[in-house]
This record gives sequence, C-alpha cells and structure tokens, in this order.
Amino acid sequence: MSTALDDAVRDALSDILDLAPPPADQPTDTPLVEQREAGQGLLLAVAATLVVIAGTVGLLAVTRDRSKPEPAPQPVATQPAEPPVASPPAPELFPSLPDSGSRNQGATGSYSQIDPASSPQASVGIARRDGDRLVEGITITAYAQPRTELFDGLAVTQVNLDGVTLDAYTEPGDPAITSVIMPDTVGLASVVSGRDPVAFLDAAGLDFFAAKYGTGPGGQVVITVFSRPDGFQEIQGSTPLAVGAREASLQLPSVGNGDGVLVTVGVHPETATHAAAGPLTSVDINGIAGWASDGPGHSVTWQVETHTWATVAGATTTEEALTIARDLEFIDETTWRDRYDVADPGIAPATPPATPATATTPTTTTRADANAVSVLVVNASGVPGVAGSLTGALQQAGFDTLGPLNAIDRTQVDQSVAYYHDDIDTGILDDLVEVAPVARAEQITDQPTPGVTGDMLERADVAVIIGRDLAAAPWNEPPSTTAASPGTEILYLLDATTTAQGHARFTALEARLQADGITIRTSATTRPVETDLLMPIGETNDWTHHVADLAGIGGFDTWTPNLLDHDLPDDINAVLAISDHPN
Amino acid sequence: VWRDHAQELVRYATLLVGPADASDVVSAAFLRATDRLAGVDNVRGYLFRAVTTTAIDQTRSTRRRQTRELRAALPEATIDARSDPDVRRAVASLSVQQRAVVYFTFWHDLPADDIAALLGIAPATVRRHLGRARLHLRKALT
Repeated sequence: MSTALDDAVRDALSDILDLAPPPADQPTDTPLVEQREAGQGLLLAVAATLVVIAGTVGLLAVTRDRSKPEPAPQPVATQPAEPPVASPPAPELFPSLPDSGSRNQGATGSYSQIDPASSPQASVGIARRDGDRLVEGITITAYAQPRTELFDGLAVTQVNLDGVTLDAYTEPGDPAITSVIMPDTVGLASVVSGRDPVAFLDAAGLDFFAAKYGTGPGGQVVITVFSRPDGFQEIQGSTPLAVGAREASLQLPSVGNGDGVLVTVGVHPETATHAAAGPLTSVDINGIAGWASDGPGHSVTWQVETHTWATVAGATTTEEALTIARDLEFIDETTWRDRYDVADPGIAPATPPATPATATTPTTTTRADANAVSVLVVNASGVPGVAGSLTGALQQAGFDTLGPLNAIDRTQVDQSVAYYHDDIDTGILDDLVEVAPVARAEQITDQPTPGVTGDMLERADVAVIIGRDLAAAPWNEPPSTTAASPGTEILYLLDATTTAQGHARFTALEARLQADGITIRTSATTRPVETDLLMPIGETNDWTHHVADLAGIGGFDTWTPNLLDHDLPDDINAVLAISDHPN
Repeated sequence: VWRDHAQELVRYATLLVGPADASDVVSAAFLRATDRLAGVDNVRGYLFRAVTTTAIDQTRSTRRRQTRELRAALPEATIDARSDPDVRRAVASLSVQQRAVVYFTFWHDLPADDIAALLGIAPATVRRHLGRARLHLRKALT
C-alpha cells in the first residue's frame, strides 16, 4: 500500500530525474581530458537551460561572455623560513603561602620541566562515579615514540585478554600501579594504567579507544575513547602533555614525621593520574571543586586558572593537604621568583621527535567498509569552512558523507566529538579518527547534544561535531583542483550585516578571501539577508566554487538585482552577501 | 548496450551527482565497464553499480561542486514540478549512498537484498541507509 511519504518521494524523484540531460553519444576510449572537454559543452548547454528556466519563474540570472582568463602567474620560489623557537608552556600562576604562616618559613621554590627530548604524549582518565567519589580509575597514555625505558626493571607478567597476550608491568608501592601495554601499537605506544587495569580491559575490550599522532604543524597525540564499561565515565578528556612544559614547585618543610609537602603547579591536569592511584573524593578549595586522595601520600588536585592546575602531595592526612591547599595564594611568576629566590630557568626549546610513530590503533576487530557508513559533519568551531574541509577529507577516505552543516544557534564547543548510532560497526570509528582526530566518540542517546538537533543526528550513522580544538583543521585535505587565478575575476562583497558580531564576521571573511588572492570590491546593502548568499553572475566555474569553499557556503543562489540600490558593475563575476548569520 | 541503457543511467546519475555532471559520470562508468560486460549476466545491474561507483569515486572538489550544483538545481529548476520543494531539498541533502538506496526502493520497488546485491553492500547497510533517509524525508514532509 502506498503511503503519503512514498507518493511524495516518488513525485520528488520524478521531478529530479526529469532534469536529466539527454545521453551523450556513446563514449569511446579517448583520453579523459577530451571526454571532459566534450562534457563541458553539454554542461554549458545544461547551465544555459537552467538559466532560461530560472528566468521563466521570475528569478533573474545574467549571462555574459567572458574572455579566456590569463594563465596564473608562476609563483616565485622563496627560501623557507626558519621555524620559530617555541617557548615551553608554563603555568599562568605560581604558588605561595602567606608570610604569617609557619609553613612558609623554610619553603623553597624551584622549576622543573618535562624532558624536552621526550616523546609527545597525551592521557585520558576514566573512572566510575560513586556518589562524591571517583573509584576504579584508570589512565590511558599514548606516546608518539615508544618509551620502553619507562618500564625498565619492573616486574612483568603476561595477561591474556580476548585471546591476545599482553605485557603488564607493575610498579611496586602502595598502591601498586600496573600498566598494560596495548596491542597493535608501534612499539610501546599506548598504555592503560591503574590499580587493576586488567579487570577494566576485561570489561571494556581491547578496542575501546584509539590514539593518533598528528604529523602536521603543532601535531600532538590525541586519544579517542569509543566506549566505556557500564558506570564508567571520562573524568579527563584527551589532554596532551606538552614536551618541555615547565612546572613550578614549592617544597614545604615537614611537620611531625612527614617527609614534607610538595606543592606543584603545571599546565596539565593531574586528575587522571591521581584517580588511577586510588579513590578520589570531591572537595571544595575556596569555592573551587577539586579532588582529594586519602591514600598514602594524601593529595589534593584542582584547577586554578584556565591552563593551570595545582597539586598538593605528600601530606600526612587529607585534612593537612586540604588546609595547605586552602592557604595557598597564587601570584605571578616574577613575584614568585623574587619571593622564593628562584633563578630564571631560561628557555629550553622542545625537541620534536625525529620520526613520529604512525597512528596507533589498538584494535582487534575487522574494519568495516567506510563507504557503508554515512557521516555528517557539523561545524561548532566558529571558524567558517572547517566542516566542508573535513567533509572533503572524509570523502577522500571513502566515507559516504552528507552536506556539512553549521551548529544550531551558532553554538561553539571546546571539544570535538563523534556521535554514532548503535547499529553501526564501531570498528569503523578507528578509520574515522584517523582522518578526524576527535577528542571522544559517544553513542547517541536521548540526551540533548550541544550544537545539533535530534533530527540532525538521525540523518547519518555518525555525526562529527567539530569544536574549537579542531578549528585548525589538522587533517590532510586533498589538494583542491579549483584554485583561483588571482586577479582575473572580481567578487562583489556585500555587507548585509546589522550587528557588531555580524560585521566582525564580514571583516574576517574579507581578510580570508583577500589572503587567498581573491580580488574584492565591497559595497553595503540595506536589504535584509537571512543567511550568506553566493550569487554567481552567469555560469559557475572553478573560481566560484573556490570562493564558495573559502566562504564555507554549501550552495549557490541566483543573483537578485534588488539587493543593490545601484546597478551591478559590469566586470563583477559573483556577489557574496554576508549576513549576520552563517549558513 | 549504450543505446539500451544510457537514458536510464543518466537519469539515475542525475539523482546522484546533478544534471551538469550526470552525462560525464555515465560515460566514464560505461568506459570502465565495457571491457568487463562480456561475462556479466545482469548487464543492467552491472552498469547501475558502475555508475554508483563512479559517482562515489569522484574527487573531493568535484563532489563538493556536485553537491552544490545539485542543491542549487533541484529546488528551483523544475518549472513543471509537481513535487514538494522541501522533499526535493531533503532528497538532495542525502548522502550519495542514501540517495541510491532511495532511488532503487521508491522508483524501482526493489527489496533490500536486491539493492544490496546491486550496490555491492550488505543488506543491513541498505536497511540502515533507508531508515535514516526515510526519517529525514518524513521530517521534510511534515
């Protein structure tokens, strides 16, 4: 029985199929270039037909002869610039105690640094929430370079999981921390650590995460978690450990029988590491939420600034650690160095690894066919064009992609996430992460998802939400074949914005287009425009498509003359109207 | 073979890549398939699959161009259109695989197993693509 949906779709298909051009002559085995040139004639004929149709329905489209564009000038070879020496990241604030307190007498300050020659790495923390406690914590650490020396001299045992034999190294102490070396990595690249990582892996399986080392500028290790055992949650998303990062410490004299307390501030959260060592309890440090460990070496860790975390460790009781934490003051670096007579450590530039390890994907499952999985990319990064760029990279990798979208209500998110339906083979997520190094992957639930509607999530097997962490588009986008010829075509950039935020978008886009060599003339309009519109004058070509790519625009619109109070200049090739809202 | 199938294949390709590139895609698919048709039982099915594969294999920039062309062309270019423009837009916004499955389901009334054989994908994948496409199309209708 035919339903309303069936009828509506058949009608739509009928209208769409009626757009089909007549078949060309039977193709012969001629070179592809000639085939394309022959096709261009047909393409132009179809374009002309569309123009006539558009004109008939009342939409004006202008066609114009254009001379063959001049060939693009050859680029002038230049010497590559020397890479800048990066300062190692340092904390934003430094620890201090009031002069009046006895603890500050004899306190010594010092710098320490993550070995500049060590491997880039990242970590993720996972734990089970039990009221106000985090229990059964584990840490995933992925290294761009094997770090076998970390486990030299430790007792090793073999464990068997999912039919795979793995090495597990145990560091003696209280608590004893065991690290399981994950399979299918390049050398020693991924480690799962905690009090009982074997039990966790037994529940999670061996392919619950993947790690990737970005080889582009500023490349870093990114870990993506696909699934977790019931009751577990991520307590710390993928966090890179910057090679060469500095930490500032304050060693406090011992009280009673203790060895003294060490206060440390650094640019990396310590929650994952502490959770792996023992249960953590939620605490309040002067209005800031933190975590306290009541195990040996009682500690407290909390965030004191956007990129700065503090840890108090080595106390004899949790109460002592908390008292010190609440007494601490955080001051600027210069004042701190003066106060504790700490010498300037200078700048020790990070040494990039000689040969980055290839992507590490600890998986034992058979990969699904990428083309069998549909992917929708949603831009919540605030940077135009990123979703289109990733869609292209995913297409190139074989994924079946839908047209990219912007997040609803211009929502921006910090971390990129891949949301997937439970009916797909999650093995394909490994392939997806190879292209799009999202911070995490989550199964779609009934819960609201920032930046997207339920309808958007329903459209594809996987929805990739690009956050600010991937705004730099760290994937290998295939080279565009639609490069513009600078100076041969002119874009009329129309400012249809009405708000300061909209005008800022206009200015940013103008700069981006100019930086790419697009010749621009600007004008303003008082006519309202709901979304950005790109209106080619005449047929579309490589240049108009290139402009669309740069502007992050998914479709062309027909030129509407009443947008202007004056005539459009004769030499304009396309009009781009910028609204307050992106597409 | 060309004479028998070209028209139908170009119509199908129009759904996948838009009218501007449909003819090129079919020509390229036919050239690829010509040498292999001798031992093929179902020539029509083989050619449909060749067109689907060729449409999918287009380069990134070409496919972005095609998507843009298709989105621009479908809602407005059909002067005698009988159908709901929202549904046409919804069809245009589906992925290539979803559009292929919709075409064979709604236009040819083929069951999932036959579509799977035709497109060289698993029947479960066909049902998944169709399920997602149906949901999206239904939203467009309401």
